[in-house]
Amino acid sequence: MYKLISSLKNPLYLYGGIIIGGYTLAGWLLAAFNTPFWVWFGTFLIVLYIANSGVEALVIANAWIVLIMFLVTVFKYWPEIWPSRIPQKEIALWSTTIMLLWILGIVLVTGLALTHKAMKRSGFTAIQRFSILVSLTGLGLGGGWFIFQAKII
Amino acid sequence: MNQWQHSTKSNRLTPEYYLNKIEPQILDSLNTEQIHAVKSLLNQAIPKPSPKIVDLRFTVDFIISRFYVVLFVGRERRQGTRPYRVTGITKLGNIIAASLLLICLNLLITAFLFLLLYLIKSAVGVNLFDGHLIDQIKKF
Repeated sequence: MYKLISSLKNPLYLYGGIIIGGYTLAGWLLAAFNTPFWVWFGTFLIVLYIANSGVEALVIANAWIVLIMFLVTVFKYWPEIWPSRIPQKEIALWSTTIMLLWILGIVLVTGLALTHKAMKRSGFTAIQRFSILVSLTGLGLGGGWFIFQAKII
Repeated sequence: MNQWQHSTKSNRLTPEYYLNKIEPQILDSLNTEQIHAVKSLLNQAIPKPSPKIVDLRFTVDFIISRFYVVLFVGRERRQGTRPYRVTGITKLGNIIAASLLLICLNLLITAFLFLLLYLIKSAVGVNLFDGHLIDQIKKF
């Protein structure tokens, strides 16, 4: 029991939990925004890229986030399940929400890259790092999509 | 054993590191005064990086190849000349790579700043023109 509790104190479990939770939220948001296939595909490519290269992938990953947020801002994409008056009438709330989503995106890609770094320090091989990170992230994104489609939340 | 012979990797680029490269029997034949003179000379000869206001170094991985990006800002103390001449295809490659890198970084930073400022402007309730941004773009 003590061993189990001690192992849970390992920051890798914390990182794993954050990745699953964070990417489930990201999957839900991508589904809620009715995101086209190319955005899902691009996001998954970025995940593969970070899982392979770690912090060295952050520049390109952030460029991808800027592109997505740019499109969301310019074309005013907004989930149908959220009140439609917000992007039309409550501009301050709309822009704050977009900024929070942007921050969430940065936190998620940075978190994934830092997990990669922590795993490398803990002695995981490149294949182990890649497969674990892609599985956790894929599970999160897929889970978030499923939760939205099944109208659980 | 000579007092200078306890060297580790961390001593690299220090006078002690270079003194340890001297043959042990030659080093032992030097007296303390001579060693101090050599050490003082080495101290002057070893290049010392000048302090920098900005010292940013990061690596960008493009899967097929990795590149490093270095940005230094500091007081100008450089000699201004390269120890080797860059000519021909290398010079052309340097110009193309530097231009592409600068254009890409410029676009990214501009998009980042534009987006950030636009969202902050909207959040604080400043309205510079009627309608949304896309309406203005459509007008053009």
